Amino acid sequence: MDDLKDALSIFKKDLLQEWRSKAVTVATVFFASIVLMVLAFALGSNDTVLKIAAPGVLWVALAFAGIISAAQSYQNELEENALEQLLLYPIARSSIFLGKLLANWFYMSLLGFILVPVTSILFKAPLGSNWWLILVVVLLGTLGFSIISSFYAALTANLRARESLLPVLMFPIVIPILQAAVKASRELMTDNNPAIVFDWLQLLIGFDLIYFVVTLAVFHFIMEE
Amino acid sequence: MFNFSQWGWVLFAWGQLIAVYIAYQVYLTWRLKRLEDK
Amino acid sequence: MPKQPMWLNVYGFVVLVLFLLGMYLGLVVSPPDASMGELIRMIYAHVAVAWVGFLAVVLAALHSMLFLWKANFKDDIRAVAHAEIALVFAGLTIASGMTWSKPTLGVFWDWDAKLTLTALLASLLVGYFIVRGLIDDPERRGRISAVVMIIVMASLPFNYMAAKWFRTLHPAKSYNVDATGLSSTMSPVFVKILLFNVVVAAMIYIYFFIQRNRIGQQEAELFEKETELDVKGDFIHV
Repeated sequence: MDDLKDALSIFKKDLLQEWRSKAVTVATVFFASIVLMVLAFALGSNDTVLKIAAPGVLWVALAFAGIISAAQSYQNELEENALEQLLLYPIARSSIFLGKLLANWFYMSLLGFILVPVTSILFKAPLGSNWWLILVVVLLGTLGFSIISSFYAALTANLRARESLLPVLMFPIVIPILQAAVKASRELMTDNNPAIVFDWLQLLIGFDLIYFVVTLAVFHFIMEE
Repeated sequence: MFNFSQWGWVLFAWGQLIAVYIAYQVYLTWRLKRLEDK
Repeated sequence: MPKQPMWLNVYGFVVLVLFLLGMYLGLVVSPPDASMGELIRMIYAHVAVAWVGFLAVVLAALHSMLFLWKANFKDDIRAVAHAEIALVFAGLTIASGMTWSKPTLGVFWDWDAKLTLTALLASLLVGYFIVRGLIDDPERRGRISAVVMIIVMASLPFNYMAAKWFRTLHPAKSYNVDATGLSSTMSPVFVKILLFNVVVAAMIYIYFFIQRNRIGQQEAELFEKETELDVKGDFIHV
């Protein structure tokens, strides 16, 4: 349980860092707004089209946010060689991974909780009585995304061309997670078919579990000795 | 009944295999030659 | 570097003959299919490279895991060889798959599950090579690219499931007919010709692998010698 406490310390440290600098907040709010606005303008003449696009718009904005947040979480450590210092502490590598993962997940789902009503309103996609289900979708989807993005952010942290490499490496892995999340969101926002959502939720849980285990298992191989 | 368009696609597909196999072998041989010269 | 051994050249020749035989079986001996007509003849080529391509990825991941476990660079070199040939076969799978798609479905691409999966696999492999290109230290390069390859293999089942359910509303209940049109009730002559071509493709793969692995091992030895020489040079100057 020490490892968990260490992870939580890293989690709190990252959140505090973000609270002070607001670097990620600014960038992601900016990107999310652009995505929403451009797509709303492009599709806005037809309400049906807007409604169909709503779940996709939501997750595109979240995906941008997720990548920025993950890249930044290891970027912070590169300045002033903080990462080396961090690795010198007597904590398990996996705790670092877990802590940063928690921070990214927390941040991404917070954004998701805000974007859901915003997208729902702007894109004329009302949520109905099962609205709480979409929050579950956001939580599970952002978890899966954060697992992958945090992992690859750590992997590319010390590489040249890391900013462009992160999305290149992540993209094919993250497609199934995004797809399940969008499909589940669509059942709630566009088609109003809550029963099917549970199938997609099972899929998301499966992704999250398996990728969590795999990335945790190989994480210590990618950190410098 | 000779269906030309179908045969055309079939030969195109097999042609891809032949072309790529030859190209890759040429690449391997080139790399080998480069090593032998060192 | 020692020249290619004679047995390898003989093997290559045998493989060439078998390939031509497989092609002959597919183009001449095979009867046309009831539903696909003459197009069945390209299925032999397409399925053969597809299966061998995915086998290659599994082998690459296996050697990657071996490298992480035993830190023997020979495994790293083998992993790279498997990955490189896997990319070649994946590319062939996509090209031949699109060639099958156009006359059958009318379009070159329709997000068919298996083709989409192969395209994702190809982009993952490209990512693997980009990562390798960015790291100079051999130990670190081997370690990090091994991790990438393991994740690549772990992602394949998910990518396949996602692609399969991409266009359906009820994923757990039912899904559309698999676009390759291959049914398990293929008559025996088709199955035999298909299996023959698959085995030949695997033999071609082995032929390529042996060559590519030899090249990799030799280049690694040369690299070691060269870096040693460099060190000696500095020492003399000092």
